[in-house]
Amino acid sequence: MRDMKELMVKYKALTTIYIKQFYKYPIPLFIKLIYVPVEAFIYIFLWNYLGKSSSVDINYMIIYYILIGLIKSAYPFRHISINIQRDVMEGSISNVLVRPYPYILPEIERYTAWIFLYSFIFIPAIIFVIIVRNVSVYYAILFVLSFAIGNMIQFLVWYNVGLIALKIERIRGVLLGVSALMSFTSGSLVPLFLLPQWMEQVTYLFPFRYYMYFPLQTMLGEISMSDYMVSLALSFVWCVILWGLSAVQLRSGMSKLQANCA
Amino acid sequence: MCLKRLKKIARLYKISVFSGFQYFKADTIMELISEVIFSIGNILFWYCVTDMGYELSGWSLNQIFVFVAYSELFFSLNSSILGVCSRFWYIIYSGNLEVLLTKPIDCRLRFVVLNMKLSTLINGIIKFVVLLMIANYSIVSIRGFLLSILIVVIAAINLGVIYFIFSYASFWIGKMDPINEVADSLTIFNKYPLVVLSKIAKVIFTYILPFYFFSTFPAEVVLEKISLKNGIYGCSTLCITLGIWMLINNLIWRKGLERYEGING
Repeated sequence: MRDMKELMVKYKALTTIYIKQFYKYPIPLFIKLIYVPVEAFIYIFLWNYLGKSSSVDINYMIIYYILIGLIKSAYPFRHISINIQRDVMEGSISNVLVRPYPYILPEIERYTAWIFLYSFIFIPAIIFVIIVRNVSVYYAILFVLSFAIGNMIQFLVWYNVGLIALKIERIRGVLLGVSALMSFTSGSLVPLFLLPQWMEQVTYLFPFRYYMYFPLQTMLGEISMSDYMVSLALSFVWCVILWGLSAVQLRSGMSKLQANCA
Repeated sequence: MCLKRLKKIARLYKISVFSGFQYFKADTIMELISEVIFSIGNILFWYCVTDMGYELSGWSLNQIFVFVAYSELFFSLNSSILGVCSRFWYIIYSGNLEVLLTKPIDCRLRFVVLNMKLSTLINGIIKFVVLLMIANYSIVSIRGFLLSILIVVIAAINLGVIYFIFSYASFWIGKMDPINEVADSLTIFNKYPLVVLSKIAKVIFTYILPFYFFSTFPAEVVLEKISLKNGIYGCSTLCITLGIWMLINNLIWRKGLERYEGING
């Protein structure tokens, strides 16, 4: 209990430092304000144009892609992997390892700081969608829950991807590979219900649908309570699996690590 | 003089090509596979859209595949050679610029050459040819083919110049890592045919920011959706835009150098 308390004090202090550090460089935030609307703008034009030839509800498709864009770029997840890759390639990982807390902790802190700052853009955007789409409070609350667990999965996925650097050093290709797989299986490329049935079944083998498609379905009110509970339970299972995998990766990676910055 | 310079560039290029494979074999192979997966995703998107009954007015599925082929070609040119221009800010920020300024080759050109990825380019060309074959290459006009390739190359150079200008902001602001994100996000202009845009947006993305030339315009030229005369007119417009951007580029570069301070000299 005392250890936990001490850890929380360190956690709080480091998170505050990261918030201050990111606050000193607010340009990423402002740039997000430019390119997220630009992406939305392209999708609006695209689906309006395509909608001329079909009776399918284009408003649904527009809101789908805007929401996907928001969820996808809400927080800079890929930076988690890139930071770990940099730690490994520059050898600075050895400095972190001698500190009195686990390696994952600074990553969580950095991530928490990002969430705190990026939420100044993400939360108003989501509230705007809730008002425009007339989403009930009930589904909005369910969305928050599914999105929170989705983010935990997202963090663990990119943390695991980063740890691959312990084995192969540069992970640019791995990042690209995971992004490609994610675009297929998360519903960000095509809504999953439009995929051929066998392909949709395959998406259950990956965790990506639980941090994009699942919160999105919840927000749009397209999920029954029983399906919601099943997806929520599976999200927890994925969290456990990814947590375990990261522990295994870290242990096996450390046995191979060579660094001279200690 | 010119031959000597070319020899130096070729030597640098050799180093950059082999170092990727030599030291990061697994990652390079993974990168190539991922790029193929992305292309499959592109095709899948258009299949699903057509399957739902949507139509891109005036474009058949085969013609869309021609667009996707050009999109892939542009993307590979960008990610293998010119995309790296958006990372030049790090050289400025880290204070290494003065060392590079003493080298016999322009430091920007040196930076691009040293970071080239031949494997990505070859992969892109293979994907381009395969996609044209899938699209049934008989719909492609031979006359417009060379012009379209030229347009893609000039558009890629133009984007590289714009990336450099973004990077120069580092002279004034310092750390500019969000530029990488912006550069990545610009690929959306290459993902869908920009015929979907409104008239005003089309004018902006043709004459000011030449994104229309990434893949939409070359696909239109090769599919003879526009006449060869208009194709040449478009190409000239692109060249003028490139000239203007290069001028701005050099102007900001000089202003930036005046401000630059480093400790490595």
